[in-house]
Amino acid sequence: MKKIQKIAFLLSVITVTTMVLTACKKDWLDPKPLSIYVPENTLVDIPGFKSALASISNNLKQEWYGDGAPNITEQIFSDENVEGTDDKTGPAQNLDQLIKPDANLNSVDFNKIGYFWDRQYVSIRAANTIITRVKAPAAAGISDSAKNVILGQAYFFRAYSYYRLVHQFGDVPCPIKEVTSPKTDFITVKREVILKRMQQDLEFAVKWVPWTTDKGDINRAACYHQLAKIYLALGLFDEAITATSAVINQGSYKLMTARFGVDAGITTKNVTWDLHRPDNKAAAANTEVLYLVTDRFGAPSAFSGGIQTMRNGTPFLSVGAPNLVTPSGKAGVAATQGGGLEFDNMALYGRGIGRCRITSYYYREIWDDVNDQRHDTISGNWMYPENVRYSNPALKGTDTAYGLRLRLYGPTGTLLCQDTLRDWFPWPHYKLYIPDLTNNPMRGGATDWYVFRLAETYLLRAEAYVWKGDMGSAVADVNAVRTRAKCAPYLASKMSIGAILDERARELYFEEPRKTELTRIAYIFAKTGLPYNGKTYTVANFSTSNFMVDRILEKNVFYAKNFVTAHGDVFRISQYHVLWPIPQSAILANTDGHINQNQGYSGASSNVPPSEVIPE
Amino acid sequence: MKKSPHAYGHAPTRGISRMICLLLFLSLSALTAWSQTTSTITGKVTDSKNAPLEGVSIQIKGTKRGVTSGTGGNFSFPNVPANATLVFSYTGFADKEVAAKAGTPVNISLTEVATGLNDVVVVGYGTSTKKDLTGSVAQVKATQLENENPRSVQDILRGNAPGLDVAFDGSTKGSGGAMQIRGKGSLTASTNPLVVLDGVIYPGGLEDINPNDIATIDVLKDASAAAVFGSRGSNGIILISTKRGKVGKPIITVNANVGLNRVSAKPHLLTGPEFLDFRSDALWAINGFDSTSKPGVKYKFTDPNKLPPGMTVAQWLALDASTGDPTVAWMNRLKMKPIEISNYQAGKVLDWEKLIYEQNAIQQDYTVSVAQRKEDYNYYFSLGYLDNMGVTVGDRYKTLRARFNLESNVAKFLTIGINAQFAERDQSAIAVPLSDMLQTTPYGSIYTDDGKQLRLSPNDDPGNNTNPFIPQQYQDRMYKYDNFFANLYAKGKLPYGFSYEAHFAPTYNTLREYNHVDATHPVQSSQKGIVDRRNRTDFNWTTDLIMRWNGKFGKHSIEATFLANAEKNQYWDTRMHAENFAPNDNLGFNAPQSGTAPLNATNTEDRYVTRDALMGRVTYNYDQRYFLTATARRDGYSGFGEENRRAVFPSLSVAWALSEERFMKNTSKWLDYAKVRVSWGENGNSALDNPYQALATLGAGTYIYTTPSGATNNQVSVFSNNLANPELKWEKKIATNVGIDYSIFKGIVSGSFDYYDANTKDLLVSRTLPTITGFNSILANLGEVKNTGFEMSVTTQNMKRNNFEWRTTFSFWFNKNKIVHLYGATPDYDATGKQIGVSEKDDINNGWFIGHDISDQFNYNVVGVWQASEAAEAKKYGYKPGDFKLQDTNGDGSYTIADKVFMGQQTPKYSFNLRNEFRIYKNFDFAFTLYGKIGQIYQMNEAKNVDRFYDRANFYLRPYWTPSNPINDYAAINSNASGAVTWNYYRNASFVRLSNVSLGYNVPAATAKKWGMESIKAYFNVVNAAVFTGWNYFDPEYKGSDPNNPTNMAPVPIQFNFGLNVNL
Repeated sequence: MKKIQKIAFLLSVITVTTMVLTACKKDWLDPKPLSIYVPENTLVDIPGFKSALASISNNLKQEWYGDGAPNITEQIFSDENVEGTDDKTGPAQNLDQLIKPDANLNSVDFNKIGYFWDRQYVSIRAANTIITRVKAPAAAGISDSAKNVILGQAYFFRAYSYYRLVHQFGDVPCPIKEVTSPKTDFITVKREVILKRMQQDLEFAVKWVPWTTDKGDINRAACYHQLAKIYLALGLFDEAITATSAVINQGSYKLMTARFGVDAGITTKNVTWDLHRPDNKAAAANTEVLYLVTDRFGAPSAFSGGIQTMRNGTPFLSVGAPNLVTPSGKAGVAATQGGGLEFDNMALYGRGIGRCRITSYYYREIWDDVNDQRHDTISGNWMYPENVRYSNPALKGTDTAYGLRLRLYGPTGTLLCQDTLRDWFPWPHYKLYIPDLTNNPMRGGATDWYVFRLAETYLLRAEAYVWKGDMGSAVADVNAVRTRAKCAPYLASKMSIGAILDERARELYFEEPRKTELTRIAYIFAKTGLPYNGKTYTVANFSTSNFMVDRILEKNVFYAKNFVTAHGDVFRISQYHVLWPIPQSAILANTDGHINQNQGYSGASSNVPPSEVIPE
Repeated sequence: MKKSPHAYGHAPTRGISRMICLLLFLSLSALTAWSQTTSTITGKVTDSKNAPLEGVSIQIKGTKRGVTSGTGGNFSFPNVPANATLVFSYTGFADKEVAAKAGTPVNISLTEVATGLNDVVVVGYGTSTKKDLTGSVAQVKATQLENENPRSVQDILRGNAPGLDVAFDGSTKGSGGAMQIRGKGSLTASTNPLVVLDGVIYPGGLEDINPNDIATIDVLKDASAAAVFGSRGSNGIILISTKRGKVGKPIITVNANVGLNRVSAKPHLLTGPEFLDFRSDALWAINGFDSTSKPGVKYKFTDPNKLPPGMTVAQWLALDASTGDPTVAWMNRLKMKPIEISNYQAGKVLDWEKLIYEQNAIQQDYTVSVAQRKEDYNYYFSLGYLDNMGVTVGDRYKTLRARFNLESNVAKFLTIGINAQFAERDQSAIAVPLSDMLQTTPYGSIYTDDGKQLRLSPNDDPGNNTNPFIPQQYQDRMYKYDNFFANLYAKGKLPYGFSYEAHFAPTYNTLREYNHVDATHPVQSSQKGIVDRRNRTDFNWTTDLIMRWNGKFGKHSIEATFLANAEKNQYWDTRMHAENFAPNDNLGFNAPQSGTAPLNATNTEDRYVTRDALMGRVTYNYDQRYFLTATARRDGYSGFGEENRRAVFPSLSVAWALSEERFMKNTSKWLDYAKVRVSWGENGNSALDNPYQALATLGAGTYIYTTPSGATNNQVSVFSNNLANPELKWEKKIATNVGIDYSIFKGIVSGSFDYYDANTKDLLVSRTLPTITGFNSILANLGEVKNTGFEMSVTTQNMKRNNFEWRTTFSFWFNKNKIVHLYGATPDYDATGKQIGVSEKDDINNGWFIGHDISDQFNYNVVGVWQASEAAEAKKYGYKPGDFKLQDTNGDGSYTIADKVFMGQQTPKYSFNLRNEFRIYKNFDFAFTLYGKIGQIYQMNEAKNVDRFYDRANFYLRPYWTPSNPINDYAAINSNASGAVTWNYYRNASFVRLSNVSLGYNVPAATAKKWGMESIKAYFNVVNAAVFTGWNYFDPEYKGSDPNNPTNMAPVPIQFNFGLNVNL
């Protein structure tokens, strides 16, 4: 017995010792990230870097997609739109009251200023990681020319985001290297300094990035287009003309003038319609696109819930009584889609909620040519509420209005629509109509979306000519865009910055970042001292008197006349809104540095002069 | 040997080793005896239940001579003079004096005084008795709670262990109540205690342990007790011991329980006329009340049949040029939809509360077990089934749980055993969503006009509300979770006082989460069927090797324990998704391959975590008077940074049994026992949600390009998720504890006091980064949090008569939490950029402030509601009468961050438990338990009255401001609750809950025997019988799935149970 005990004892000691030794083996505790890539084994070869670049497009595309898409915030700080949701507190209508550093700046129900701050720095971080790592020893296997292409494409993304940031927020912090430790000592860098650095980067990019890449990837034309915007922002008008001309003259980019794509066989439609069909944007036949973001139904990268332009951008025509009633006072429209409705409005126009409410400037004042395809009701490009029919099935046989067109006023002049802000405005159907396989009722489904299109390249060059006073060259470029839409050409005498902005509105509604572009132009006015409507501006007083807010007060009747919504909120904007507030959370988290607040917002009193150099 | 009513675990091992010591001791005694000529007295000492007592001191009265009883309670006392009186004394038992008689064995039975000092307590990798403890441990005997029908481990612990906060969980599962021992020591890492089941670390869910199988639960609270678990001990340890067989014939126990869950603590949802009154008020509010620009707007929404004197229906109609039927005009003004108007006219009203709250939610819980203990083996086998219907229609939780414990003594040096459990949880039920219910009104219709098909939207307002019954009808779901956990072990005694123990404990879990949305689903029909299928398999194992050595030299007792441990946790998680089924989706989730849109079919996440540990512990005591425990543990964890995968955690504790000292003789009349404990130690916290956070990881996906020829090119995309932190390491908690255990008046009063002070350093913190970095935060080790607290518990035997016994247990504790440091001092600059000093900054974004409680809320203070007379003042701030009025702390006329103040903490300032047990006529057991948490605040943003569009939704009844009801604690309907700043509204959430009332009846043993049964008990209990609180919106404690988002609040049940417990 004792022997057995001793053996057992010895065995135990041996087991314990073995065990202890095994446990202490060095690789026992090595982490194994089984389903996750790490930078060390990914950002080392061309496929790795291409994957990292693709993710930046996926990041920046989110600006146009979803309920309360961030782009709406760009639109409501402009002449084209206001926030139309007037059934609650929160939407950015009274900007004086709601646009504050500590307010909710990143919410569907408020505004998306914070989205732009956060996500653009995410794009910048991703670009910086590529820029740092493509030069690192681990990437030594990549040829120099291939490295330069990767670098050029990463420079494009970084420049794209900084161009937006400096026009949204003015002077901002400017990291240009991969962040590898918890950095909290950022400082504010002067806007021009950032733009000049981005100019240099893009001048490198246009030497190396190829003219032809996959659609959705970055090509040289997109780099030139972005570079042209930065030249304009810096007042380098000749350089802007050279950069835009490089794209226009390259040969493979042409404005689409002939019918093409999925609906080409529908004779009642036209090329403007074709240009904005989801399936046509990246089509081989489309020679107008420089850079687009992609979103396809069922794909993993598809934005959940679709683009929702038919929710955000169209009027709230889905409610019956009391909002939309027939002349005899009955609920006018069906609230559902499908189910055998004779007039299935929502299958045609979606279930709009009038969030991005169009101003009279965009739906009426700028249209000066009856042949303009971009405002054409006959082909169905443009829609009025009056194009929609009384569809409530309960009306059938009980109300003669059934199936007739909606009316704003009854026979005795009574209003048949209670809330004209949300429920009653025309809209560019050709742009916002995105068939929706995801939502019922439709809200606008999956689609690609234009970021840079040749039409804008023309309008950028036209603008550069206007700044230089060369109205003859300017009008030629504007007419290139106008005549494609079947308008009569303008005369040179018509040219002005206002005319350029009107043409941009007609052509680029809901594509261009309207606030960014208005601020850029406001800076040029301030810098050049050129007059607008007889008034001149200075950089020093930018936040108290600027072109952007004057333009909004000139064209956007809601802000100009301080309209009051059904909810009792007043539309108000002030001069200092030319720059958005730096989110308070970013200032607070930056414990070891000082970030300036923009003039007009609380906290600006402790500003220090912005840095004249970018900290390396 | 010590008395061990729950004799299992490691006690026998120790007994055997002690026998060796005793043999040595006896041999020595025998040698001494040889030289003298008086008689030797032999005998045996037992407790009142005949279990032998080892270590009883036997002394000749009036002398200092004495011996100690050995194994089996036997003793032999040489050289005892004739007529001597022997005094038997043993801690926790009443002394007994017996006259020595030569030649006759003295068999003595000692009576325990009710102190619990001899209860076996599990201490992690071993056991102890309460009186040998040097650390702070609370024990809960589950068997004493049988009458209360606990449904989960949390139910057993809630209100029964001082210092342990167990949150209330109103869900059908009932096991979601988070547990927290001695306050929150971490900012972001988990604060859940470590669970150890039958001696090994348990990685499974607490819901898989059948509470009927539990014998005792021990809670290790201080650093020294928890130190044996090193890097995982900082949140304290919950040690669960399951039942074992008892000596005798096999016992079959049947526990059957049927109960009823009724909804309680819910605000009233409006129906019928009260709803119309509300809607009328809501539209009045939405239209800005009566003002100079809108005079008489109220009457526009007033029922035309209830117009004020002097107003005719014609005048009323003319307010907005309405014509025709005034009722229809009124309904139109109230924004009622056509279906609502016609239902109103037809007198049809829906009472959604009746439709959605289950009136007869039955709970059933059955457990059958068989147990026995024989010389060479003992076993316990059980099978349990629980079926619990929730208080909302469709909510149901079912689980089947089986347990098998077997231990066999193969040889003196080898005992083998297994503790195994299997559980299946069925969470497939689809409950009616309350959120949809709130969006409907009493005047909608559930069915379409044919009366059969569900209406897509009861109010025909599909963008706003969906029929709450649609998910049940159009969704098919399977959510089943299977858990298998086994602990296989071998243990035995080795020569020279050594003993060993080896455990191998595998856990195998599988989850099947399958969901099918039917192609005919009214909202999602365009997808033509949606299937999601998820399979997750977990496989974990732990292995422990324990060597122990016991020695006893005279009055010195030493025990040394050494542990080597390794652990691996892995899971493999696969999800697939399919849509657009062809030819149809009749095969449901069983055939995702029939989906024709499988582009994003698969998504996987696999994980792998390893740990190891070495631990040594030495306990020493001298004469049961002076105790010492020293522990050191070295831990390794793969989740930390390369530099810091291993760390060492030491601890030391001492105790002094004051009452055993001779100079305390005089107090022994009233003081049975007193012990002072002091402990110090370091523990760690390694509870990370994601074990890869030390690494910079990239998220992968795809993005679509189109080639120049127009073809789709699926481009892989990778995106960095986080910053790497190669220095990531354990949180370290350094804690000291001072405690007293006492028992006075022959056990009539007993209890303990503990004071502790714990500093957690190197906190695992999700540190906010400026978003300029492109990251929101990084996980880092920073800062320091201090918890200090006091705990007391007292048990009193208030009355002990023949037919009436009354016992009270009361515990009270508080914990003070304070952030001491966060990210260290950083420079301060003046306006010109010149450095003017350094200071440590708060993390305002995370809401962490140095010197404050972690849960202290920094926010705008609501000081009331802007009243009509203050309209002009309100306007300056962008508000109007009826909106909440915030405090303009610095009086600068606008609201900025400078106006924020500290509102209070979300954790209780004080907690207490009170339990009373009565035994009447020997057969009736009555008990009730109360617990309270005092001093905490919670968000109550519903008081802003803007949580829904109230021109379209229903309303949970609560006050609201109107010009004619100018209250100060609730805002107007649709009030402006945001504007330039966002804030939360808080209310005090203190409460006292009568958590359980139970009555049990034990059929007299003789009667039971007559019926052929060992014992029969019938019991009735009420769970969550009442809550006393000033909080008046759902339950003050149960905040649904997200405690910080009270909009998830759901009603909690009050449960009535009737049960039978039969032993065959």
